[in-house]
Amino acid sequence: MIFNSTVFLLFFAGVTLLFWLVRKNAEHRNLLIVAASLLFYGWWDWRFVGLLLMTGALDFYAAQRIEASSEKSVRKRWLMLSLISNLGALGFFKYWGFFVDSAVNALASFGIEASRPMLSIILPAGISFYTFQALSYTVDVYRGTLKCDRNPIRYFAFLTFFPQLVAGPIERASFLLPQFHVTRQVTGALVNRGIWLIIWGFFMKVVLADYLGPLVDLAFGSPSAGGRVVFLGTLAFGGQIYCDFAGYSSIALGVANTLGFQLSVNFSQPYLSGNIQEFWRRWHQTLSTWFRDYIYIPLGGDRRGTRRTLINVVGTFGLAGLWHGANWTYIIWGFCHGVALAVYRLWKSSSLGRSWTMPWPVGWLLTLSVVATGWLFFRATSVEHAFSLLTAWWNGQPPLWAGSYLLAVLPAILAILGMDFFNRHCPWERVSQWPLAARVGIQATLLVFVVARWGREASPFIYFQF
Amino acid sequence: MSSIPPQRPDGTPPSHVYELRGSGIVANLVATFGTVLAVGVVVSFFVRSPLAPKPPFSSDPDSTIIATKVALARNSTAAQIGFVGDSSCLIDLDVATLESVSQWTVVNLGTLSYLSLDSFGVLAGEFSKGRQSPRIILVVHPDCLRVSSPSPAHRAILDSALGSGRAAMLQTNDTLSAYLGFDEFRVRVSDHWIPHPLKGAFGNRYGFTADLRDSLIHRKGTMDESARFDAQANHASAEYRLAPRIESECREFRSKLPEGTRIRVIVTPVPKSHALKSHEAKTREMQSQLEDWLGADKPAFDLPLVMPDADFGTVTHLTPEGAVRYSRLVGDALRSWK
Repeated sequence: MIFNSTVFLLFFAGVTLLFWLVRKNAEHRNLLIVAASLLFYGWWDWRFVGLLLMTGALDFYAAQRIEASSEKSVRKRWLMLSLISNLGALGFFKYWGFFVDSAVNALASFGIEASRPMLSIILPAGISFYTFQALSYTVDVYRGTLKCDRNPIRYFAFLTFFPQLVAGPIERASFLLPQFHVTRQVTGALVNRGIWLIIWGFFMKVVLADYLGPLVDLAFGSPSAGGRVVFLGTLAFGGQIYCDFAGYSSIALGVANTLGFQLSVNFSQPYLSGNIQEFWRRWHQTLSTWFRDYIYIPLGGDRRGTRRTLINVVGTFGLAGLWHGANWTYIIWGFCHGVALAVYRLWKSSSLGRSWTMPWPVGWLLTLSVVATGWLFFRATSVEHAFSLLTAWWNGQPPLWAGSYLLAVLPAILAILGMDFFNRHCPWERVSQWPLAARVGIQATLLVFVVARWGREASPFIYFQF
Repeated sequence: MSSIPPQRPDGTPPSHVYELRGSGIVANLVATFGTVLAVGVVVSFFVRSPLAPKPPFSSDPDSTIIATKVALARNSTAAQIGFVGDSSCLIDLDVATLESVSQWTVVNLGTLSYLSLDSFGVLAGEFSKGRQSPRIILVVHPDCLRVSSPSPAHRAILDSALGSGRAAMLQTNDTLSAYLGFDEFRVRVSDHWIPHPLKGAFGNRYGFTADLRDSLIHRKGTMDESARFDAQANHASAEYRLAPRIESECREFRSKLPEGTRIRVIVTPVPKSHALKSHEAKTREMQSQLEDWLGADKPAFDLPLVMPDADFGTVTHLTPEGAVRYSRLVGDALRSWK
């Protein structure tokens, strides 16, 4: 079930009504959330529900065994079991084909012929998201920073909470799980914030991302799209993926708010960042912090000297790239960002970097250049495709329709920057103080565009494939 | 905000409490959705009023082709011959080649097989208006003749482009957007300034609907096929026949044209590997029947009904190179049309 569908709107209305009916009993509420979440998830393919329940049950049990034991070896064994089951499922469903193809190609380069095992594997929606959420639970229990939950319904409500199940935000158990323990207060302020976020989310997805989608396909799919079109197409993809993913996150936060729950903010106007470090504090924040806490810091973080820190940064981003998908283009995208961040750290630690602050427009343009180059790899279908597009940036002849392309892309890019500028300066905390008429004016304007584009060229959210 | 209520007697806490009084949620929702509804009402009245601009028909390739052909039919005053027909007419006949070989001035008004023969007649009639003994050539692929029913949506686009119907859209649906008039607003207003990208191979070649329209006008109605024919792929049946509707449509076609209009019929070729042994004989028979129903000039032009696979993009369309070769043959044949 995708958010931008009529069936989801009906589902959400039904859940809200049932939610009101079960308001007197927290157990019933949690049970309703689990049932609704499994229905939401099973709407794609009911077989995936089994995988989700299986790995979830194993983590639930492993966490209890970890907590119950004082022996380090026993605790470690149960943690390993949880890691293997989660990463094993992720590896099998997501990376099997990639690793087999890479191995076969590597052998072929040595003149060794190897056949590919034929397996047709469908990727379960959102497996990377819920796997990381489940992993953080068992790791935190192992580290002793979290007490395990012995109530399976509550645990599964945390793991499968439908607003964020398939595309995040990737929540920590320490933040979300306690919310299923206590009585939630559904306040007017929270519901109004939810409505605001849902409308903004739909506007970003249905109006901006789905408008840019066919334009991106045109630039990346056309062999004759030279220079200017590929460059603009890359910017368009940056806008599409942002509006698609941040739109989803906004709807997720809004839906959770209307049910009285809080989720973590995932995007904070990343394209207004003045440097690459700031960009990563504003882009997919819950994934960034996950990698920081469970990969970068355990690797030593910045505690083992400059050289090791830089290796840790680049390595962590390489893994973040691989998390996105089984393709070298994602890994290169990750390394692009890792190297940029490493260069930024070196610059900041240099005497010039410490004494001179780069003017914001220069930093902004540099950041956007790095981000756009990364997006080109991210969107390309293969490394060869990416390099052919990169070459076209500089010397490709523009097709006859390059003028129309500029006319089509530029207003959307400006609208996205304008939207981010507005949201940076007018966050909800400020907007909520405005007169109702002003808020309604903005909501209704956004909603008119959403209604006008609803159902036209509707596409699933890009991050579902990760 | 009230404090969290105490636990229930059985030890379980209450799930959640609603603190909504005075929060303005109802006012917020009613005002927001009410405003959208009010905007919809205003837009609905506007698009039905004479103030609404005429649609540019640029929201999809089919509408663009049909509307551009209507404009070409009306504005090609210098053209001596008007070619009308399905997409094989649109793609297989290269006007520049035809004109240079035949010495006639022509315009290609070929559209799509989704339209019926009588719709082609409407375009031919539009072209013939105000001309002394106009000349029309109907160009169809055998596949177009067996289609059981044309598309009413495409006919609505044609009527709308001619100004005899309301703004029509191919992508009509029963969404809220359509009821509130937003779809028609898009077709009539925003399509004037929002470029629409084309998909697939046509996207690579033409980019946007506006660029397709400019190219059609510049090339007097000719369009290029970007695909390459694959003989191994699954194709529709190679057995062609005349659908029962064709006879009445031919008479409708004729009725749209003024007295003294000269008509010829061309049936476009199929790839060699696709043609049955009986294809040529059967097709000539169908062509003769069409000529009778249309009251067309006879004998038919001596043109190939089968061509090498290499000249084709699809079963129904020639490649640009194949179209030039075929157009030379058609141009040669036209020279003898006195």
